[in-house]
Amino acid sequence: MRPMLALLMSLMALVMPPLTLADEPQRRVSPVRPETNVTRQPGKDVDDKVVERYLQGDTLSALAEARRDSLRKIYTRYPRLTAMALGVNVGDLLMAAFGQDYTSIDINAQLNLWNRLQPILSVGMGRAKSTPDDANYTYRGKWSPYISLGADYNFLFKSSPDYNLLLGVRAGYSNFGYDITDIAINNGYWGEHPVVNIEGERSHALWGEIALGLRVKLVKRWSLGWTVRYHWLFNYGKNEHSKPWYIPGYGARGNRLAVSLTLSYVLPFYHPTPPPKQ
Amino acid sequence: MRHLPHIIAAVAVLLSLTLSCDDHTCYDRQSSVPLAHFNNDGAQAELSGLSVRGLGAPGDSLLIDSSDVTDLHLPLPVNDTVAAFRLWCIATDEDGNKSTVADTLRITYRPIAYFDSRECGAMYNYEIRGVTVTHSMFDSVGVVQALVTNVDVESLILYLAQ
Repeated sequence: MRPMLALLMSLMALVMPPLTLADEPQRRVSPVRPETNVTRQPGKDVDDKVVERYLQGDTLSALAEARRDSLRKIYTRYPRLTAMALGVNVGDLLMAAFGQDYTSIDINAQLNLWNRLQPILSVGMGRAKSTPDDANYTYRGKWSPYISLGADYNFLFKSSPDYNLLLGVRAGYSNFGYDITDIAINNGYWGEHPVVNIEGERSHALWGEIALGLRVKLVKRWSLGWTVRYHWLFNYGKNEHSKPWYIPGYGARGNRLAVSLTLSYVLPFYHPTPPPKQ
Repeated sequence: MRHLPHIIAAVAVLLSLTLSCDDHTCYDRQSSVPLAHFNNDGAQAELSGLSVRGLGAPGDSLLIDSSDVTDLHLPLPVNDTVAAFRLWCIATDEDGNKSTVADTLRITYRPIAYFDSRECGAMYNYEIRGVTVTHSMFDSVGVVQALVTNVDVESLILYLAQ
Protein backbone atom coordinates (compact mmCIF):
# COMPACT_ATOMS: atom_id res chain seq x y z
CA MET A 1 0.00 0.00 0.00
CA ARG A 2 2.81 2.39 0.99
CA PRO A 3 4.81 1.89 -2.18
CA MET A 4 1.71 2.47 -4.24
CA LEU A 5 0.90 5.65 -2.33
CA ALA A 6 4.44 6.89 -2.84
CA LEU A 7 4.23 6.12 -6.53
CA LEU A 8 0.93 8.00 -6.75
CA MET A 9 2.37 10.98 -4.93
CA SER A 10 5.32 11.01 -7.34
CA LEU A 11 3.07 10.93 -10.34
CA MET A 12 1.04 13.79 -8.88
CA ALA A 13 4.17 15.81 -8.30
CA LEU A 14 5.07 15.41 -11.94
CA VAL A 15 1.62 16.38 -13.24
CA MET A 16 0.33 18.99 -10.76
CA PRO A 17 3.07 21.69 -10.72
CA PRO A 18 2.24 23.14 -14.26
CA LEU A 19 -1.47 23.27 -13.42
CA THR A 20 -0.76 24.87 -10.03
CA LEU A 21 1.53 27.56 -11.47
CA ALA A 22 -1.05 28.55 -14.06
CA ASP A 23 -3.65 29.35 -11.39
CA GLU A 24 -1.42 31.67 -9.34
CA PRO A 25 -1.32 35.42 -10.33
CA GLN A 26 1.91 36.39 -12.01
CA ARG A 27 3.83 39.13 -10.31
CA ARG A 28 5.03 41.79 -12.68
CA VAL A 29 8.02 43.80 -11.81
CA SER A 30 8.54 47.24 -13.34
CA PRO A 31 12.02 48.45 -12.65
CA VAL A 32 12.32 52.22 -11.96
CA ARG A 33 14.81 53.92 -14.16
CA PRO A 34 16.85 56.22 -12.00
CA GLU A 35 16.80 59.14 -14.51
CA THR A 36 12.96 59.39 -14.40
CA ASN A 37 12.78 59.53 -10.66
CA VAL A 38 13.06 63.30 -10.34
CA THR A 39 11.19 65.69 -8.11
CA ARG A 40 8.88 68.16 -9.93
CA GLN A 41 9.58 71.74 -9.07
CA PRO A 42 6.84 74.35 -9.18
CA GLY A 43 7.17 77.30 -11.61
CA LYS A 44 8.78 80.48 -10.40
CA ASP A 45 5.56 82.48 -10.28
CA VAL A 46 3.29 79.84 -8.84
CA ASP A 47 1.50 80.93 -5.72
CA ASP A 48 2.68 79.22 -2.50
CA LYS A 49 -0.90 78.37 -1.63
CA VAL A 50 -1.27 76.51 -4.92
CA VAL A 51 1.94 74.57 -4.20
CA GLU A 52 0.72 73.70 -0.73
CA ARG A 53 -2.56 72.45 -2.13
CA TYR A 54 -0.66 70.31 -4.63
CA LEU A 55 1.47 68.77 -1.90
CA GLN A 56 -1.62 68.01 0.14
CA GLY A 57 -2.92 65.88 -2.71
CA ASP A 58 -5.34 68.21 -4.52
CA THR A 59 -3.15 67.94 -7.59
CA LEU A 60 -5.69 68.40 -10.41
CA SER A 61 -7.23 71.66 -9.23
CA ALA A 62 -3.83 73.01 -8.20
CA LEU A 63 -2.40 72.33 -11.65
CA ALA A 64 -5.47 73.93 -13.31
CA GLU A 65 -5.16 77.04 -11.17
CA ALA A 66 -1.45 77.28 -11.83
CA ARG A 67 -2.15 77.14 -15.59
CA ARG A 68 -4.83 79.82 -15.34
CA ASP A 69 -2.44 82.03 -13.40
CA SER A 70 0.24 81.59 -16.06
CA LEU A 71 -2.21 82.40 -18.89
CA ARG A 72 -3.32 85.57 -17.11
CA LYS A 73 0.21 86.74 -17.23
CA ILE A 74 0.36 86.09 -21.04
CA TYR A 75 -2.73 88.09 -22.12
CA THR A 76 -5.23 90.34 -20.42
CA ARG A 77 -8.62 89.05 -19.38
CA TYR A 78 -11.20 91.68 -20.16
CA PRO A 79 -14.31 92.37 -18.10
CA ARG A 80 -17.81 91.79 -19.27
CA LEU A 81 -18.33 95.40 -20.38
CA THR A 82 -15.13 96.10 -22.26
CA ALA A 83 -16.33 98.77 -24.72
CA MET A 84 -19.18 99.97 -26.90
CA ALA A 85 -18.91 101.06 -30.52
CA LEU A 86 -21.40 103.46 -32.07
CA GLY A 87 -21.12 103.40 -35.83
CA VAL A 88 -22.52 104.55 -39.13
CA ASN A 89 -22.59 102.13 -42.07
CA VAL A 90 -21.89 104.02 -45.27
CA GLY A 91 -21.16 101.01 -47.49
CA ASP A 92 -24.24 101.37 -49.70
CA LEU A 93 -23.79 105.16 -49.88
CA LEU A 94 -20.32 104.55 -51.26
CA MET A 95 -21.53 101.88 -53.71
CA ALA A 96 -24.30 104.22 -54.93
CA ALA A 97 -21.62 106.75 -55.79
CA PHE A 98 -20.11 104.07 -58.03
CA GLY A 99 -23.38 103.38 -59.86
CA GLN A 100 -25.40 101.06 -57.62
CA ASP A 101 -29.12 101.66 -58.08
CA TYR A 102 -29.99 101.60 -54.41
CA THR A 103 -28.60 103.12 -51.26
CA SER A 104 -29.00 102.88 -47.52
CA ILE A 105 -27.53 104.16 -44.30
CA ASP A 106 -27.76 102.72 -40.83
CA ILE A 107 -26.50 103.43 -37.37
CA ASN A 108 -25.40 100.58 -35.17
CA ALA A 109 -24.44 99.98 -31.58
CA GLN A 110 -22.13 97.11 -30.72
CA LEU A 111 -21.21 96.03 -27.20
CA ASN A 112 -17.87 94.39 -26.54
CA LEU A 113 -18.24 91.72 -23.86
CA TRP A 114 -15.03 90.18 -22.51
CA ASN A 115 -13.41 91.28 -25.77
CA ARG A 116 -15.03 88.15 -27.27
CA LEU A 117 -18.76 88.28 -27.73
CA GLN A 118 -20.12 91.41 -29.40
CA PRO A 119 -23.89 91.77 -29.83
CA ILE A 120 -24.92 94.36 -32.40
CA LEU A 121 -28.09 96.27 -33.23
CA SER A 122 -28.49 98.17 -36.50
CA VAL A 123 -31.30 100.47 -37.56
CA GLY A 124 -31.37 102.12 -40.96
CA MET A 125 -33.22 103.40 -43.98
CA GLY A 126 -32.88 102.43 -47.64
CA ARG A 127 -34.29 103.39 -51.02
CA ALA A 128 -33.88 102.48 -54.67
CA LYS A 129 -34.43 103.96 -58.10
CA SER A 130 -33.61 101.93 -61.17
CA THR A 131 -34.36 102.24 -64.87
CA PRO A 132 -32.32 99.44 -66.45
CA ASP A 133 -31.00 100.17 -69.90
CA ASP A 134 -32.71 97.26 -71.64
CA ALA A 135 -35.89 97.28 -69.60
CA ASN A 136 -39.36 98.78 -69.94
CA TYR A 137 -39.94 100.24 -66.45
CA THR A 138 -38.66 102.39 -63.59
CA TYR A 139 -38.47 100.81 -60.14
CA ARG A 140 -38.81 103.26 -57.27
CA GLY A 141 -38.24 101.90 -53.79
CA LYS A 142 -39.42 104.39 -51.17
CA TRP A 143 -37.31 105.35 -48.18
CA SER A 144 -38.14 102.52 -45.79
CA PRO A 145 -36.74 101.35 -42.46
CA TYR A 146 -34.98 98.15 -41.56
CA ILE A 147 -33.60 96.62 -38.41
CA SER A 148 -30.94 94.00 -37.84
CA LEU A 149 -29.94 92.19 -34.65
CA GLY A 150 -27.10 89.77 -34.13
CA ALA A 151 -23.82 88.95 -32.45
CA ASP A 152 -20.18 88.59 -33.49
CA TYR A 153 -17.31 86.63 -32.03
CA ASN A 154 -13.91 88.31 -31.88
CA PHE A 155 -11.09 85.92 -32.75
CA LEU A 156 -8.50 88.46 -31.61
CA PHE A 157 -9.70 88.34 -28.01
CA LYS A 158 -6.14 88.03 -26.71
CA SER A 159 -5.17 91.26 -28.42
CA SER A 160 -6.12 94.84 -27.78
CA PRO A 161 -9.82 95.66 -28.26
CA ASP A 162 -8.67 98.21 -30.81
CA TYR A 163 -8.40 95.40 -33.42
CA ASN A 164 -11.19 92.91 -33.93
CA LEU A 165 -11.58 90.00 -36.37
CA LEU A 166 -15.26 89.19 -36.21
CA LEU A 167 -17.48 86.37 -37.37
CA GLY A 168 -21.14 86.57 -36.54
CA VAL A 169 -24.76 85.97 -37.38
CA ARG A 170 -27.63 88.37 -37.75
CA ALA A 171 -31.33 88.49 -38.50
CA GLY A 172 -32.92 91.41 -40.31
CA TYR A 173 -36.41 92.67 -41.05
CA SER A 174 -37.88 95.39 -43.20
CA ASN A 175 -41.33 96.64 -44.10
CA PHE A 176 -41.21 98.76 -47.21
CA GLY A 177 -43.07 100.34 -50.10
CA TYR A 178 -42.31 100.71 -53.80
CA ASP A 179 -43.74 101.71 -57.18
CA ILE A 180 -43.06 100.49 -60.68
CA THR A 181 -43.82 103.25 -63.15
CA ASP A 182 -43.57 104.05 -66.85
CA ILE A 183 -44.11 100.40 -67.80
CA ALA A 184 -44.14 100.30 -71.58
CA ILE A 185 -46.06 97.26 -72.82
CA ASN A 186 -45.45 96.09 -76.39
CA ASN A 187 -48.30 93.86 -77.54
CA GLY A 188 -47.45 94.10 -81.23
CA TYR A 189 -49.83 91.43 -82.56
CA TRP A 190 -52.88 93.27 -81.25
CA GLY A 191 -51.37 96.70 -81.96
CA GLU A 192 -51.33 97.72 -78.28
CA HIS A 193 -48.61 99.86 -76.70
CA PRO A 194 -50.01 101.07 -73.39
CA VAL A 195 -47.92 102.69 -70.65
CA VAL A 196 -49.03 101.64 -67.17
CA ASN A 197 -48.00 102.13 -63.55
CA ILE A 198 -48.06 99.78 -60.57
CA GLU A 199 -48.18 102.04 -57.55
CA GLY A 200 -48.62 101.78 -53.82
CA GLU A 201 -47.10 98.31 -53.50
CA ARG A 202 -46.00 97.20 -50.05
CA SER A 203 -44.03 94.21 -48.87
CA HIS A 204 -41.92 92.91 -46.03
CA ALA A 205 -38.91 90.64 -45.74
CA LEU A 206 -37.15 88.60 -43.06
CA TRP A 207 -33.60 87.43 -43.65
CA GLY A 208 -30.56 85.87 -42.02
CA GLU A 209 -26.88 86.75 -42.40
CA ILE A 210 -23.43 85.39 -41.69
CA ALA A 211 -20.95 88.24 -41.39
CA LEU A 212 -17.17 88.25 -41.52
CA GLY A 213 -15.54 91.53 -40.60
CA LEU A 214 -12.59 93.44 -39.38
CA ARG A 215 -12.48 96.58 -37.25
CA VAL A 216 -9.27 98.54 -36.79
CA LYS A 217 -8.46 101.64 -34.81
CA LEU A 218 -7.79 104.71 -36.94
CA VAL A 219 -7.02 107.46 -34.47
CA LYS A 220 -7.89 108.01 -30.82
CA ARG A 221 -11.38 106.49 -30.39
CA TRP A 222 -12.31 106.31 -34.05
CA SER A 223 -12.34 102.93 -35.83
CA LEU A 224 -13.18 101.69 -39.29
CA GLY A 225 -14.82 98.35 -39.97
CA TRP A 226 -15.34 96.24 -43.09
CA THR A 227 -17.87 93.45 -43.14
CA VAL A 228 -18.77 90.96 -45.86
CA ARG A 229 -22.24 89.55 -45.33
CA TYR A 230 -23.65 86.37 -46.86
CA HIS A 231 -27.42 86.53 -46.54
CA TRP A 232 -30.55 84.69 -47.53
CA LEU A 233 -34.27 85.40 -47.34
CA PHE A 234 -36.46 83.42 -44.96
CA ASN A 235 -39.57 84.90 -46.52
CA TYR A 236 -40.83 88.01 -48.24
CA GLY A 237 -44.23 89.32 -49.24
CA LYS A 238 -45.44 88.75 -52.79
CA ASN A 239 -48.28 90.78 -54.28
CA GLU A 240 -50.72 90.16 -57.09
CA HIS A 241 -49.03 92.83 -59.18
CA SER A 242 -45.37 92.44 -58.24
CA LYS A 243 -42.52 90.89 -56.38
CA PRO A 244 -40.12 93.37 -54.75
CA TRP A 245 -36.72 93.81 -56.36
CA TYR A 246 -35.04 95.90 -53.66
CA ILE A 247 -35.25 95.13 -49.94
CA PRO A 248 -33.91 97.86 -47.58
CA GLY A 249 -31.07 96.52 -45.45
CA TYR A 250 -30.73 93.45 -47.67
CA GLY A 251 -30.14 94.79 -51.15
CA ALA A 252 -31.35 93.35 -54.43
CA ARG A 253 -33.52 90.29 -53.85
CA GLY A 254 -31.35 88.02 -55.99
CA ASN A 255 -28.02 89.02 -54.42
CA ARG A 256 -26.41 86.79 -51.81
CA LEU A 257 -23.51 89.02 -50.78
CA ALA A 258 -23.31 92.54 -49.36
CA VAL A 259 -20.54 94.69 -47.96
CA SER A 260 -20.65 97.15 -45.07
CA LEU A 261 -18.22 99.92 -44.30
CA THR A 262 -18.73 101.27 -40.80
CA LEU A 263 -17.13 104.27 -39.15
CA SER A 264 -17.34 103.81 -35.39
CA TYR A 265 -16.69 105.79 -32.25
CA VAL A 266 -15.57 103.42 -29.52
CA LEU A 267 -16.37 104.11 -25.88
CA PRO A 268 -13.99 102.04 -23.72
CA PHE A 269 -15.34 100.91 -20.36
CA TYR A 270 -12.14 99.27 -19.23
CA HIS A 271 -8.53 100.35 -19.27
CA PRO A 272 -6.41 97.25 -18.64
CA THR A 273 -3.13 97.24 -16.74
CA PRO A 274 -0.46 95.87 -19.06
CA PRO A 275 0.74 92.40 -18.00
CA PRO A 276 4.08 92.31 -16.20
CA LYS A 277 7.05 91.62 -18.43
CA GLN A 278 8.49 88.14 -18.06
CA MET B 1 0.06 89.95 -38.85
CA ARG B 2 0.89 93.66 -39.08
CA HIS B 3 -0.33 93.77 -42.67
CA LEU B 4 -3.42 91.66 -42.05
CA PRO B 5 -5.80 94.67 -41.78
CA HIS B 6 -4.51 96.03 -45.08
CA ILE B 7 -4.88 92.67 -46.78
CA ILE B 8 -8.40 92.22 -45.56
CA ALA B 9 -9.25 95.78 -46.58
CA ALA B 10 -8.00 95.09 -50.09
CA VAL B 11 -10.04 91.90 -50.25
CA ALA B 12 -13.12 93.80 -49.06
CA VAL B 13 -12.68 96.38 -51.82
CA LEU B 14 -12.29 93.64 -54.42
CA LEU B 15 -15.37 91.90 -53.13
CA SER B 16 -17.28 95.16 -53.30
CA LEU B 17 -16.42 95.47 -56.96
CA THR B 18 -17.44 91.89 -57.72
CA LEU B 19 -20.72 92.33 -55.91
CA SER B 20 -21.76 94.87 -58.51
CA CYS B 21 -21.48 92.23 -61.22
CA ASP B 22 -25.04 90.85 -61.08
CA ASP B 23 -26.46 88.27 -63.42
CA HIS B 24 -28.87 90.30 -65.59
CA THR B 25 -30.22 87.31 -67.51
CA CYS B 26 -33.97 86.68 -67.66
CA TYR B 27 -34.34 82.91 -67.62
CA ASP B 28 -38.10 83.04 -68.29
CA ARG B 29 -40.00 85.05 -70.91
CA GLN B 30 -40.37 88.80 -70.89
CA SER B 31 -44.09 88.55 -71.63
CA SER B 32 -46.93 86.21 -70.67
CA VAL B 33 -48.56 84.25 -73.50
CA PRO B 34 -50.94 81.28 -73.06
CA LEU B 35 -49.59 78.05 -74.53
CA ALA B 36 -52.02 75.49 -75.96
CA HIS B 37 -51.23 71.85 -76.81
CA PHE B 38 -53.23 69.47 -79.01
CA ASN B 39 -54.29 66.14 -77.64
CA ASN B 40 -55.58 63.12 -79.51
CA ASP B 41 -56.74 60.11 -77.53
CA GLY B 42 -54.54 60.85 -74.57
CA ALA B 43 -51.35 61.66 -76.46
CA GLN B 44 -49.92 64.91 -77.73
CA ALA B 45 -50.95 65.39 -81.35
CA GLU B 46 -49.82 67.38 -84.35
CA LEU B 47 -52.10 69.28 -86.65
CA SER B 48 -50.98 69.54 -90.25
CA GLY B 49 -51.52 72.61 -92.34
CA LEU B 50 -52.97 74.64 -89.47
CA SER B 51 -53.56 78.36 -89.76
CA VAL B 52 -54.50 80.63 -86.84
CA ARG B 53 -55.45 84.29 -86.58
CA GLY B 54 -56.87 86.49 -83.86
CA LEU B 55 -60.33 87.84 -84.58
CA GLY B 56 -60.06 91.62 -84.56
CA ALA B 57 -56.24 91.74 -84.85
CA PRO B 58 -55.00 94.65 -86.95
CA GLY B 59 -54.77 93.66 -90.59
CA ASP B 60 -56.12 90.17 -89.82
CA SER B 61 -52.52 89.09 -89.41
CA LEU B 62 -51.83 85.40 -89.01
CA LEU B 63 -50.27 83.83 -85.96
CA ILE B 64 -49.61 80.57 -87.85
CA ASP B 65 -49.81 80.07 -91.63
CA SER B 66 -50.43 76.52 -92.90
CA SER B 67 -47.90 74.88 -90.64
CA ASP B 68 -47.61 71.53 -88.90
CA VAL B 69 -47.76 72.29 -85.22
CA THR B 70 -48.08 70.41 -81.93
CA ASP B 71 -48.69 73.53 -79.84
CA LEU B 72 -49.35 77.23 -80.29
CA HIS B 73 -48.93 80.48 -78.39
CA LEU B 74 -52.05 82.68 -78.24
CA PRO B 75 -51.25 86.31 -77.31
CA LEU B 76 -54.10 88.08 -75.57
CA PRO B 77 -55.07 91.77 -75.79
CA VAL B 78 -54.34 93.76 -72.61
CA ASN B 79 -57.19 96.23 -73.17
CA ASP B 80 -59.93 93.61 -73.32
CA THR B 81 -61.27 90.65 -71.37
CA VAL B 82 -62.36 88.37 -74.25
CA ALA B 83 -60.21 87.17 -77.13
CA ALA B 84 -61.26 84.96 -80.06
CA PHE B 85 -59.06 82.97 -82.42
CA ARG B 86 -59.93 81.29 -85.70
CA LEU B 87 -58.21 77.97 -86.33
CA TRP B 88 -58.59 76.20 -89.68
CA CYS B 89 -57.09 73.47 -91.79
CA ILE B 90 -57.58 72.69 -95.45
CA ALA B 91 -58.60 69.06 -95.82
CA THR B 92 -58.41 67.04 -99.05
CA ASP B 93 -60.87 64.20 -99.56
CA GLU B 94 -60.42 60.99 -101.60
CA ASP B 95 -61.56 62.70 -104.78
CA GLY B 96 -59.05 65.47 -104.32
CA ASN B 97 -61.64 68.02 -103.30
CA LYS B 98 -60.41 70.51 -100.80
CA SER B 99 -62.49 71.84 -97.99
CA THR B 100 -61.80 74.12 -95.06
CA VAL B 101 -62.40 72.84 -91.56
CA ALA B 102 -62.46 75.68 -89.05
CA ASP B 103 -63.15 76.30 -85.38
CA THR B 104 -63.32 79.35 -83.11
CA LEU B 105 -61.58 79.36 -79.74
CA ARG B 106 -62.84 81.98 -77.30
CA ILE B 107 -60.95 82.86 -74.11
CA THR B 108 -62.37 84.96 -71.27
CA TYR B 109 -59.73 86.36 -68.93
CA ARG B 110 -58.61 89.12 -66.58
CA PRO B 111 -55.41 91.00 -67.47
CA ILE B 112 -53.09 91.76 -64.51
CA ALA B 113 -50.21 94.21 -64.80
CA TYR B 114 -47.23 92.49 -63.15
CA PHE B 115 -43.60 93.24 -62.28
CA ASP B 116 -41.61 90.00 -62.20
CA SER B 117 -37.99 90.94 -61.63
CA ARG B 118 -35.30 93.40 -62.63
CA GLU B 119 -34.12 91.01 -65.35
CA CYS B 120 -37.47 89.99 -66.86
CA GLY B 121 -39.16 93.34 -66.32
CA ALA B 122 -42.85 94.16 -66.26
CA MET B 123 -45.62 92.59 -68.33
CA TYR B 124 -49.27 91.56 -68.20
CA ASN B 125 -50.29 88.25 -66.66
CA TYR B 126 -53.70 86.75 -67.44
CA GLU B 127 -56.16 84.93 -65.27
CA ILE B 128 -58.20 82.64 -67.56
CA ARG B 129 -61.80 82.60 -66.43
CA GLY B 130 -63.40 80.59 -69.21
CA VAL B 131 -62.65 78.86 -72.53
CA THR B 132 -64.97 77.59 -75.27
CA VAL B 133 -64.32 76.04 -78.69
CA THR B 134 -66.55 75.06 -81.59
CA HIS B 135 -66.55 71.43 -82.66
CA SER B 136 -65.44 70.94 -86.24
CA MET B 137 -61.87 69.88 -85.46
CA PHE B 138 -62.00 69.86 -81.70
CA ASP B 139 -64.03 67.93 -79.22
CA SER B 140 -63.37 70.17 -76.23
CA VAL B 141 -60.83 72.44 -74.54
CA GLY B 142 -59.46 72.26 -71.02
CA VAL B 143 -57.64 74.74 -68.78
CA VAL B 144 -54.43 73.32 -67.30
CA GLN B 145 -53.09 76.48 -65.67
CA ALA B 146 -55.55 79.33 -65.12
CA LEU B 147 -52.90 81.95 -64.25
CA VAL B 148 -50.76 82.66 -67.26
CA THR B 149 -47.34 84.07 -66.31
CA ASN B 150 -44.01 84.55 -68.06
CA VAL B 151 -43.06 80.97 -67.25
CA ASP B 152 -43.64 79.03 -70.46
CA VAL B 153 -45.87 76.20 -69.32
CA GLU B 154 -48.98 74.65 -70.81
CA SER B 155 -52.17 76.64 -70.13
CA LEU B 156 -54.76 74.99 -72.43
CA ILE B 157 -55.34 71.57 -74.02
CA LEU B 158 -57.35 71.26 -77.23
CA TYR B 159 -58.78 67.77 -77.61
CA LEU B 160 -59.17 66.69 -81.21
CA ALA B 161 -62.48 65.28 -82.35
CA GLN B 162 -62.38 61.55 -83.19
